[in-house]
Amino acid sequence: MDIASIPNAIIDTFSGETAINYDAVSITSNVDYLFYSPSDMLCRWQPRYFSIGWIQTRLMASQERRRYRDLRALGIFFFVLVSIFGTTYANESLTETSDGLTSDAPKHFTWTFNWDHVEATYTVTLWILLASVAKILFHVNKTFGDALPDSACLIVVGCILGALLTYFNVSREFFNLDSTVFFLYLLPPIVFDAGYFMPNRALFENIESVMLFAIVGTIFNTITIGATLYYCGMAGFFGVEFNLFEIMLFAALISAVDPVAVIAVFEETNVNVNLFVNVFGEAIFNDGVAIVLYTMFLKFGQIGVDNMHASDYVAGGASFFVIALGGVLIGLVFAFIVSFITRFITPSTRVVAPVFIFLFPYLSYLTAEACSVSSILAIVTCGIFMKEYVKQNITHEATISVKYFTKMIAQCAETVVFVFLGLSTVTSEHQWDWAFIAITIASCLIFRTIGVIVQCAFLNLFRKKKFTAIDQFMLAYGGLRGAIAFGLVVSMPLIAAKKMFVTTTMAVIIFTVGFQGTTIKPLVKKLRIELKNDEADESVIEKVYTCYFDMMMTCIENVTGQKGSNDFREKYEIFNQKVLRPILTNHPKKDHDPNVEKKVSPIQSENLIRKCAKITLRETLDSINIHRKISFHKTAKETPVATGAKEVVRTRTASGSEVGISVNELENLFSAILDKKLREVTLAQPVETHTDIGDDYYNQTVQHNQQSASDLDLRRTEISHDPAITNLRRQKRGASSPNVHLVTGASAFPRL
Amino acid sequence: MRVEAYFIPTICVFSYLLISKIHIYNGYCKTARRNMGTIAFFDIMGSSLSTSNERFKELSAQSGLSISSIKMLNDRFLTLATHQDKTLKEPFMTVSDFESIPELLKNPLGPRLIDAFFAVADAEQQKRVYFADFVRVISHFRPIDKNVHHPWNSREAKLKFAFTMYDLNKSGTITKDEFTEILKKMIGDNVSAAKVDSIAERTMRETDGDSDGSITFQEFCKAMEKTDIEQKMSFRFLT
Repeated sequence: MDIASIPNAIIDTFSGETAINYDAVSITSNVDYLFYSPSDMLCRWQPRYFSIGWIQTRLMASQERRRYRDLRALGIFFFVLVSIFGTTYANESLTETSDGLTSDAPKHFTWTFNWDHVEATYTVTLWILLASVAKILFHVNKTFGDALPDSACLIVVGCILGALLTYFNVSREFFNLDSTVFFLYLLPPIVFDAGYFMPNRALFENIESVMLFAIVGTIFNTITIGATLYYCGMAGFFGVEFNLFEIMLFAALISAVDPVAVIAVFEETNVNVNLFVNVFGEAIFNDGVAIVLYTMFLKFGQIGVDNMHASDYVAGGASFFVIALGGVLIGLVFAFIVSFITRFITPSTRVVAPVFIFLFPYLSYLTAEACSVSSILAIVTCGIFMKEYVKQNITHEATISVKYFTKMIAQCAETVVFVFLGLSTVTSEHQWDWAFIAITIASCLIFRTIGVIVQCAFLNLFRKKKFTAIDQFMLAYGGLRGAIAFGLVVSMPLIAAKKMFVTTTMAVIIFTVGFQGTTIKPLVKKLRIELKNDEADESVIEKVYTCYFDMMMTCIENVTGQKGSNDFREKYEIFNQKVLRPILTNHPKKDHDPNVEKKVSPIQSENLIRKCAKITLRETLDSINIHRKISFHKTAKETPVATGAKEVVRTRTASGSEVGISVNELENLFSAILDKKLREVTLAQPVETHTDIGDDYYNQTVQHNQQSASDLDLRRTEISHDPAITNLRRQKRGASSPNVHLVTGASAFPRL
Repeated sequence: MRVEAYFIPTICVFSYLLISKIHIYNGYCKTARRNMGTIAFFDIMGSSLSTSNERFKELSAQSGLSISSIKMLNDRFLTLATHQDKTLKEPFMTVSDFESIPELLKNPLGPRLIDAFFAVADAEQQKRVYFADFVRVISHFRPIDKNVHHPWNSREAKLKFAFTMYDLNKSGTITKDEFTEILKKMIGDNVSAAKVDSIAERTMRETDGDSDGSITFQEFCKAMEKTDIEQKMSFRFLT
């Protein structure tokens, strides 16, 4: 039995009918694991604090040398890739495309290079790969990789690529980022990722501040920046002329905080959740306002200054509600549809589930675009509301795969966006107007700071957790502009000042992402901002007591007769439980007395149980990792790929006092859980085990047969129906490593 | 879409928002009317406005709440308290008064909270909560003012209150059974007893430092040191 599958067995045992079947890799790995070579992983697990002998030092040095060799090879490969890429395109544009049809048929087989055939997809794929490889290369040097945010590095890569490609005289059309492509293909995954992984509870606790910043803050910024630039323009500081509506158009798109940039930078800084949700929520929800202002000023510009009526202004103001609420409504409708459809997914159709989860939010985005309402609000709302129900309806493996796929696609899109930003910086025709750029950047910073201070002062009158001065500074400093502003400015109608606007927008983006993004991390450290409370450290008792405190506060609210946020939340939970969940989830009906009124919404209890299981799993894996470290230390001479069973045995026999405790603990855990589970199983009804998708097609069919066969055996003994045992049996048949000891029954676990 | 079409959804939204708030206003009107009634009644009974002001000041000094909060609590207390002590001419609340609050019974911790009120109040077995006791319990939930330290409203006092809600027999420790019972109430009936038991056991194992089978107040405090109790256990409308 592979040691990595022990957690599966334990959790199956522990969790029983809620088939929480954690994949060992998915919990412990962060995505970075995928990029490091096996030798590097070994290096990391070498515990430094154990006494290391001479052989180990030699071994380690060679491993580290191997690591740098690997990465150097990667760098060379990257360089080769770029040069091939460049020369291909260079050749492509220089020479004429060969005519596919020749008059005389070839006499013998010739190898032809069919570039036209694959051109488009080849380009796209190569871009994405290049950007991702570039990302790996940044983290070669740890200090360098941590200092600069990834987005800044990608912009630099884009600039370098742009320089290279102009040097090779590649025609512009290969790397022009069309605004349609950006808004239809690149932006939705990023924003969906944002909505799906939004911390819901923190968002709704801070909803007033988020809304205030998004609406009032953006409008304030637009008006002040626009006014400043207009009056400076009137005073004649700038080279190009523009009228009021044009400059207000520019102000509208430059004043909106950008979710893409905020995600890219804040993800790495790990600030506490309240601060993060304020900046991030503002970035998302101000899209509604930004779109309104942009289209409003666009229409006003088209109508012309002289033909404006009062009703046009009022209509503009009213359109805000329609756009914002329309977006939210569309998102809710689609969230409802998705949850409803996934309710009917059975194990035999489970592969379809991720399809719904991705395509329906995307459809909501497109529908909102078609209706000219806020598409970002639609997709974010869809993500927020469907998460809860969808997680109930689909299998756990599907949830994990959805999670990873979302992250993957969002990462790809983000890298491509920033590379293209850098590329466009170098390759587009610029009109540098230093005064305009300087005044724009200065007014962005100043007015954002003023806006944040005023709004926070107002909010602090009502908030429990007040915004301190440092919080306010972070809020002001975290207002990054990004790719959406760029997309909007490029799609502006052709006016005299457009080139200047484009240049300025790029300068502002590079300034915010580059300068502000880089300095934000050291500032967080220096100002000692409260960091993210790592969930791994939260103990079960804290979670239990959080639940408990919520209920207590609701009670007191009822006693004092005040309607507070706890009351609202409780009311929503009751509504959720009574109305929404029966419709949207296939929550299995437990046979309980219908007269007993359900006092607590099941979602709280399920959350509690899920968290409890997660923590148990994490602890078990930790104790197993301690095992592994020690066994690697002892068996450093042998190949690292040892089987789990052997490791366990060897460390136990060779163990000193250091490992005695962990093995004991592990063993106690096993036996306690298994005993309990046996008790439970013998008393309860048999539960349905469920199989995961096998590793290859053979395993898949074999498992299927096993499942139906084991169903027949079930009736004989209840013990054999223990999910842990069926799991182990399954693993035996599908096991890859030859030396597997089949373990069945509680007594088979070796006791010391 | 025509420009005027924008107005219709706007009007719909606003009217919905207004209508949803009306029931709250109705509630306030009802309580105000009831207050007027009871205050008139007590005026006849002889307690005048000036002495109640003094009482408020005294309570405010004692509990640390502002006078406006105390007035608000007084209004609420008078709507809830239907009994009156004849000798002291003081209204008090009994268990039935608490149970007349509809939402309180639906909450699993409701009965426990009611017991906690009486536990704080009572020296004798009379099961009466006077206004002073009411204020005292509620003052635990005031947001902590970092500049002004108050014994009734410190982090330790809040934790102590939370602790006593679990430990009603005032033994000073929470045993596994008490904890399991609370957990069962919180989680509901959908979960099997074995699961609740395992969670309870797990929690006890985490908190119980000296493994004596029960959680003392110090162990409880230590387990809660990362939680932001000051913010969780406070109301912003209590100043």
